[in-house]
Formats: sequence, structure tokens, C-alpha cells
Amino acid sequence: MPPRGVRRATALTSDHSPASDRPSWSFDELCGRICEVRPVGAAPGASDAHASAVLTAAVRLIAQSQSRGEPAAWISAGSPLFFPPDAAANGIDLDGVVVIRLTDGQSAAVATDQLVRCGAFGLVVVDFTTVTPSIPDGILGRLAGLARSNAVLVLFLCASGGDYSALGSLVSLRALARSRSDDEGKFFLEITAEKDKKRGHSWSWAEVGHGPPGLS
Amino acid sequence: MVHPACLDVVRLPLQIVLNRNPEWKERPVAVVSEDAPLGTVLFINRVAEQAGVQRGLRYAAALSICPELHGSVVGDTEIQNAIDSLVSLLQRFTPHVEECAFDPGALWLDAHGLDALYGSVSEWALAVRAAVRGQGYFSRICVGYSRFGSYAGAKRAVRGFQSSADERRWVRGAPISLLPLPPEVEQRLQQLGTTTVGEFCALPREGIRSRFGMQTDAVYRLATEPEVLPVQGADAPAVLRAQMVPDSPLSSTTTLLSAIEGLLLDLLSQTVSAAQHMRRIELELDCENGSCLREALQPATPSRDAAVWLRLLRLRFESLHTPASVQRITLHAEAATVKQPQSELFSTAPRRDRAAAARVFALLRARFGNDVVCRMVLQSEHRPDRRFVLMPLDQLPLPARIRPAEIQLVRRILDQPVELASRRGLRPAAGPFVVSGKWWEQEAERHYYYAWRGRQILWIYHDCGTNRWFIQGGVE
Repeated sequence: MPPRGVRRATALTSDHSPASDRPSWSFDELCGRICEVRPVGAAPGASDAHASAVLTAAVRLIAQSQSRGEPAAWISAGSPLFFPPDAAANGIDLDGVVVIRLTDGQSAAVATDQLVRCGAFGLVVVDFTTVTPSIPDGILGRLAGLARSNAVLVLFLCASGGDYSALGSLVSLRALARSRSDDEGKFFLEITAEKDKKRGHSWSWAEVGHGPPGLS
Repeated sequence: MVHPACLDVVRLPLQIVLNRNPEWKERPVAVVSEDAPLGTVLFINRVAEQAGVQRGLRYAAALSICPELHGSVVGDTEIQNAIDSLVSLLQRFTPHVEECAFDPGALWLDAHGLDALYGSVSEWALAVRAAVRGQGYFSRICVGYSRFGSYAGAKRAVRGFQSSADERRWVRGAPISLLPLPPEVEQRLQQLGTTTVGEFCALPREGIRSRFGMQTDAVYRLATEPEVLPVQGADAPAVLRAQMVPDSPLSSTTTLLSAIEGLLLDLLSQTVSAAQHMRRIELELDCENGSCLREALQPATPSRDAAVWLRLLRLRFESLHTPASVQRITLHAEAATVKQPQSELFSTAPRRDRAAAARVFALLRARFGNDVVCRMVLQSEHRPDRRFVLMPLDQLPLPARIRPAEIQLVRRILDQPVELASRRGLRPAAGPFVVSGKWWEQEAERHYYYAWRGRQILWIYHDCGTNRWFIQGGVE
């Protein structure tokens, strides 16, 4: 530990700025952790005007990881893919996103383990929205260690499953992603962290945006 | 008489960008070293040049001169892919094609003896140019008496020379701007009063590398080459084959794998004795019921390491089921010569290991199939399901550093549209948006809508041809 008031030079030259005091849905905040994000589903307080925004939340993180020069991978466990022109409109360089198309959750778990282990990626998104996540606790614990040591954000997109986590207690952050529109036609991306092991309390974050062409 | 010809694909990286974005052809375009303010402008088109942009400027400075400038990065892999496709095309015209080590757009061709086939060397050169044009690249070709003479001639659109002495005289008086020197080196040489190739060749050999760098040294050595070396064509990939007919048909996976491993090791020993590596193998299993099972395996990089190949083979066999006992096994291997890069004394480890990613891609392909690792490529089409295609990916590309834009909600697109049995329970959100295209194929018009279903925003369309409704995807 350096003396109080002294910062290491490595910290000054690091690509990642230190996480701010206020939690946010950002790559810097979540890097090195395993996160699970679910659609609004039957979340308390959600009205009919709320829609799922898991894809938008994931794409937001890909754009941020790319802006820091970090490669990103998208693993689809039998789920349909995001519409690429919408990702490009969010500032994503599609050439820099590796897409792994698999048919089942077990294969996706193997691929996730390999990609996180190799240390070549800054962000690995695993789309489990159409299948039941099948990652045993042992593998998930190993993934958590690898994510921390290789500075990889592993983001699982899961289907709405009520109040419980689809992946168990080893995830570092569990959040709900939803979108809401106002009278002026603007859309808000709202993230509610139900569990955050790093912060120790729940938090929420929102940012204004717009809908896809034709909807805003 | 040796007839080295040089084909110059003019500003190849710029042409790659323009082929990728055809709508940019009338706009100012620059190829930059990186998509960041401090990136260097490497190539520019005529429109950008007329707007005042120059090579060697920082990207930010170029944008301040020409705010409409379109900048793009072209990766080494993309350039190498373009060169590989050009080399395979040119091998139809001459057996020997050599890449230029310091200029990615230049290729030397051996034109010796081809005049008998084409009538004259000029006719041959015209045929080569037309074929390259058919690939979408503008090029110039010069048939000379030396490698450097033909290179310099191609750069200045000279088709040929009357004699070797004529070539030497012309080259000595040519300006140094035709040489592929880094912009700062060219500027320094001009400040020193070195403006022609003859003056450049007269510089003392000893100081070139230490003063101007390795690329300038490579150009200098070619320009002062005392002898005319023949064109060193790359060897075409050799295909090796091994076959085995077992005494009795093999039904067990273990015995089958063991037999294939034996054939694989035999092929590997052949490649080792030929000082080559194996790039890819194709496996053919002829079964008793008449069916033939074909599988292909490819590692991250060409390899002759038995452990790498055996691991990929075993992974593929984990998910492989033969329909019947196998009565004949055939292995085809594509061999390749691998250029070993010079190791660096002070290597700086990158933050992310791209070679490790390539190895993982090879493992995933071996385990789950050759098409699981891919990337998305946008297309200029009207229909949403045709707006992109998935292309196979071998190497991890580095993402361009783009500033994240304002959030836009993202749609999910189904692989196949699902027919909407009933529109009951849907609340309209927006639409219709009419999409039609390919009228020459009598493609039906589609009316797209957004609709709420509970807490879901669906993306649906009405197919006017069949008068049916489909779900294209949803907004998530």
C-alpha cells in the first residue's frame, strides 16, 4: 500500500479511470466482475409503459469497452442476435465484435470459459434470454476468479425469472434493465441494481436516449 | 532476357476503403493509421487533396482543414487478404508472382516467355490490368528490364522501356516522390536537396538505415541492386494426401480416431521433411452404407505441432457421429510455408493477446463447427433481414476507438420471422413504414410497425404479397 496521498504511477497510466463514487452502468464500474441483467418482467414498480432493455444495456457496455480499445465478444446460446445497424447507431464498430453462435446453454458456458480464460477480451456478453442458464456454481466461481485476474467484464443476459437470480449467488451484480418513454417521445434506459456485492446496496441509474428509427 | 513486370495497385488501402464504402467515391477520404486525433493520414484521394489535406498530417489537423473528410483505418489482415486474392488471380497469367516487402500495392510478375502466348508482352500486360480491374482495383503495369525500373515505371504510368540503358536513364531522373518513403523521410531528403532517384541512390549506403529507418533502407537496397534478380514467386500451397482402407470396417470412435491419428502423423512428417506447415486438413470418411462424411479442421495459424492437430481432431470427434461403419479414411492436407518473424529484443507485451484469441477460435470451431465464430458485416439493402450478413472470423480484430453515441434502443431480429396468428392484444406504437426492394425479383412490399404486447415492444410487418402478418423481432 503506498503512503496516504501518494498514487502509484501505474494507476496514473492505467487505461481505466478509477470508478467514481456514484455507481453507474458503465464499463469502468463493472470491469472484472460477473454481472447478470434481466428484463423488467414482474419487477415491483414496473408499469405497462416499461419495456425490456437488456440488449440496449449490453450494447451500451460494448460501446464503452470499444472506446477504451477493449475487444468484445457476444455469445449467443440459441438466442436471436441484436440488429447490427442499431448497434452501429450506438457507436459500435461491428468489425470489432466477435459473435459466437451456439445452440445451447452448455456450449455457451464452455465458450465463455475459454474466452474469459484466454484474456484477449475486455467484455464477454452471454445471451441466455431464450434458454435456461446451465452454469454450475463451480464453473461460475472459476469464471469470477478469471474475470477478476484478466480484467474481463462477463455480462449474462437472462430471461425474466421473478425475484431470484438465474445464475445463483456468485454473480457480483444483478440488475434489471428497462426502457421508458415520455410524452415528448424520448426514451430512458433505466438500470436498477438489485444486488451489488461491491457497493453493498441497491442503486439505480438512468440515461436519456431515443428509440430505433420510426419509434422516436 | 529477363522481363520483370511490376503491377502497382494504386494506393491499395485507399481502394479497399472505397470498395467498402462506394458512396464515398465523390467525397474527401483518407486512410489513417488510427481512428484518433493523433492518427496519421497515410493515403488520400483526389477530392481530399484538392481540399488541402496532405499525407503525414495528424487526423485532427486534416479534419480542421476539411471537416467533411471521411477517415478510415485499414488493418493489416484486410490488406493481406486483398493481396492474397490478387496473387491468386495473377497466377493465372504467370507462374511467378512476388509481393513487394515495403509497398503493399506493388507486385512483381515474371513476363518472360509470355509474348508467344499473348502476341506481345504489351498484350499480356493489358490482359493483366483488365483482370485486376475486374476485381475492383485500378492498377498500372510496367514491363521493364530490372525490378526497380519496372517498379518506378509503374508508379509513373510508364508502360515499358526501349532498352535497359533507357530504363536506367529514366529512373535516375525520376523524382523521389514516387518512392514509398515515409512522409517525414521524404520531407527531410528534399530539405537536403535530394530530389531525384539518382541523387537518392548516390547517398552513402552506411547511414541510410540509422538515419532514415528500415523501410527507407529496403527501398534503397532495391534501387541500388547491382544484378537483376529473377522474380521470386511464392509456392502454390501443396496438397498432401493420405489414405487408409482398414481390414474390417471401423465402428468404434476410439479405433477410428486412432487410425486417423496415424494418418495425420504421417502427413505431419511429410510436411516437416518439406520444411512446411499444415494450414488445413480435410477428412473424408467413406461409410459402409455409401454415405461420405466430410469434415475440415484449421488451427489458428499453420502448424506442424502434432499436439495442436490431435487436440483439434479429438474435439471434433466429441460431437461427430458416423452414420455407419467406416471402410475408407482419406486425409487431404494443405501445406504452407510460414514466414517466421524476427524476434524483438525489447518486446512490449500488448494488453490483450490476439494470438490467444485466435487459438480459442480454432478450438471452438473444432468443437462446435466451422461457422460458430463470425462477425457482422452491414450491407446496403432495404429489407431488415438483408441488412447484414455473418462472415467467418479467424483473427481477433482490434476495435476502432469510437466515441459512444447517444443511446438508441436496440432491436432484436429473429433468424426467421414468426407468423403472427392473431393481432389481438397488440397496441399500435408506430407505423407503417413501407419497405420494398428488388422489384425485378417481384419481391412483395412490406409494411413495418411497432406494437406493444404487454411490456414488450414488438417489431412486426404485414407482407402485402401474402396478406399475412409476421414478427420480425422486438425492441429490447
